[in-house]
Amino acid sequence: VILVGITTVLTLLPRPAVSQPLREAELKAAVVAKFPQFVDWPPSLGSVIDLCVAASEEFSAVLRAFVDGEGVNERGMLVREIGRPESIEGCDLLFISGRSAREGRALLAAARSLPILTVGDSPTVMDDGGMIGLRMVGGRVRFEVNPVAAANSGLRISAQLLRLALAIRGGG
Amino acid sequence: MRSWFSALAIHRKLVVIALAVSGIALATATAGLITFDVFRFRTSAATSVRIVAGMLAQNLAAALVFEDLSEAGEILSTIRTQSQITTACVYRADDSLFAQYERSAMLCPARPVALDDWRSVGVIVPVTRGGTTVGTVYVERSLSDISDRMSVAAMASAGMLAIAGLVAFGAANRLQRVISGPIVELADAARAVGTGPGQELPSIDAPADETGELARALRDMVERLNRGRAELVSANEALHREIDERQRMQEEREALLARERAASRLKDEFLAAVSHELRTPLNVIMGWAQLLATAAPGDPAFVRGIASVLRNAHAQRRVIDDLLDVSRITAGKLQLKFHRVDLRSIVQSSLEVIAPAVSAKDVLVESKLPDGACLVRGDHDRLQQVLWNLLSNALKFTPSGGKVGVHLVQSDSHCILTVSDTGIGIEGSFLPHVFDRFRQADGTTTREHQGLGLGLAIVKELVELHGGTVRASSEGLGKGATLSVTLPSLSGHEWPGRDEGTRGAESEPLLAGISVLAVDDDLDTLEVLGSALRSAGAGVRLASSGAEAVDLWQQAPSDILLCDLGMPHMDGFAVLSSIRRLEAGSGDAAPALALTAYASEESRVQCLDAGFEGRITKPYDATQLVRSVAQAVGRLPVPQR
Repeated sequence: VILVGITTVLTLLPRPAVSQPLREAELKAAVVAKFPQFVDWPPSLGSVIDLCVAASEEFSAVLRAFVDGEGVNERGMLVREIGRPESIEGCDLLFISGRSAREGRALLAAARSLPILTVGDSPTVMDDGGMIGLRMVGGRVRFEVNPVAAANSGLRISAQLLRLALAIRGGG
Repeated sequence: MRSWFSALAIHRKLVVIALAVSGIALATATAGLITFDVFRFRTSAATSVRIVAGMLAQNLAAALVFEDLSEAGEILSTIRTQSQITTACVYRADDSLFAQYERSAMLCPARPVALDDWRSVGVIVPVTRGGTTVGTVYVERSLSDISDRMSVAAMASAGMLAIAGLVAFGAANRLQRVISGPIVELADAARAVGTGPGQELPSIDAPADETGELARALRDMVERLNRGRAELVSANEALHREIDERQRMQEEREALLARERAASRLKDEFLAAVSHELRTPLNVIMGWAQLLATAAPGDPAFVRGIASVLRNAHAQRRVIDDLLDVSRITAGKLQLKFHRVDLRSIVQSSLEVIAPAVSAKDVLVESKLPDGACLVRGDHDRLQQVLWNLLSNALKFTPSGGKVGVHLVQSDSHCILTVSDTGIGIEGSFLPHVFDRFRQADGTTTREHQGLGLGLAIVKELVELHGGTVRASSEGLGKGATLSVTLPSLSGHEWPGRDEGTRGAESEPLLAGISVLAVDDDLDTLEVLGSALRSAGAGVRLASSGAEAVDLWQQAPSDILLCDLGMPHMDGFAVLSSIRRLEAGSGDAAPALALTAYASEESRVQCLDAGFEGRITKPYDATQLVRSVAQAVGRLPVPQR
């Protein structure tokens, strides 16, 4: 078997030169924007996938730019910023970044009983009960997945996504 | 090819055709099967490629979306068991190449485009996720295994063809006999008919198809041929027979013609001889008659002249007698008066008769006769004629100084008379014709030796009428000839008649005291008649016409009437009837004899019917005349008829 890498991911999103934090935010937003394709939510959902962001405003803007006009299975995607755990109502995906551990834990706890895909980039997000945890590896965004936690919330994560995961976590 | 095929025997043709047909059918079927197989294989190959591509597209979505090259490589590597897949390529949604799997050194096309040619088939399948197309998968499969498959199929087909050919050959070889067997048999039979005697077509066990029809037609043809041949043969034979028959007839006709020519020539010669024989004595007689007519009476030439005239008249009469005899014999009208005759006395008297001629010619005659009589049943006069003819013949052909031998021998049952001479003899080739009429050895002989050549012919006829045979023999020309006559002899008591041949010479004139009336319109004949009768002692009255005769008879009847038949004014028959009327009163009827030149039996019967006792044919000699008259008046016994 010969495996030859031809292209580089660098050319995926050609953007003007930006600052390091912005660049990382763009990479993460591109990944997050694609997760809905590999997740099956329970039926009786609305016609729009609500992408709730608990992160910086820049990230929201970048993500909004990515999902603008995009859709999954004829469902459009909408980016919403949330601050408090109470406003989690109606979210389909929750991205947590740049928050304190306590804040993060509260948001995750609030989302636990709801069909919400929880994604974070803190090192402890998986331990706190998150379903997908983003990690920067060699300039590239990789992720860990806890399909059990997702299943507990009524979600099913695609096997293909699982195959791409850095690690599969269990429990939660 | 065509000529090669047409030169084949029919059973080989059948085998070839069967092989060709089965081979073509099998090859066609095999080619069709292979084509179909290739097509199907190709289709299934394309389908399987599409399935592989679809599977890859299904699994590659995440790797594509998240740009995970290693994952993509891993997924692509799952197709490594598909050995025929040469290339697999993954393109992004914007058709740029993302990843590729390569078994060979083949490169991915720059853009995903479906491929379909003979070497390979390539399919493109979109990669979709969440309703959007995230990329394209291109999978190419080599079709090199199709040619492998085809060559295997071709080899298998070839093997099958070979086996099928063998089987078909065997089957055709056996089955063709059904068709070719009768045909070959037929051909053999036809050849046998064509070359051999071919009388019969051997019976053929022909099937009920066209071959059978052919066999029947052939048999009919041969039968017709044989019939035709038989007809031809019989026609040919008939033709041959006809040709033979015609040839035979032609030969017969030619032989007949030759005989007729010979006979005609003989008759011509004979006529010449007759006229010569008649003319020669006539010349002498006329010569003397002229001399004597002017000679003075008492001239000594008278005696010589008269003697010469008599001799020549005799000679001429003999010629005429011979002619008449031959004519009678030819007509079968010669009447023989058979008595017991002594051949020895006839020989003796004949020798006496020819004695003057013998001495005149200076020929020595030696006779050897038996002591006793040699009796035969025969006609005295005719046997005398035989003797004269034989002797005069011998004398004629014997030169002066020669010898003539006369031998008579009495054997148990036959009298054998042999007359031999030392004359000119007879050529061997002429011997068989010695006794033929009108025939003499040749023209020169005829001239040298006078005569008609009838003598021996008459001898033969007369002897045979007597139941005897004549033979002539000669050693050849110049060696003399011998003629022998054999007659059946009689013993003394067999014939109770008188012995005429031994009659002695007359002591007194036969007609002494007999009165005769002779009638003839020819005065010369009348003169001769009268002197002959007078010399026999008869008293003679002569009449030169019928009326004169009747007058004379009226004056005084005679003892006998001799009357010529053919006279002017009153013929013989009228004379006789007048005289019979004169006699009617007296009751007497004197005998009458007719004188006539007609010697035929008809005229004889006519004479008898008219009342004549008999007739005397002219010319007559005195002796015969006198004897006839003597018989008529009873001075001599009448010979039995």
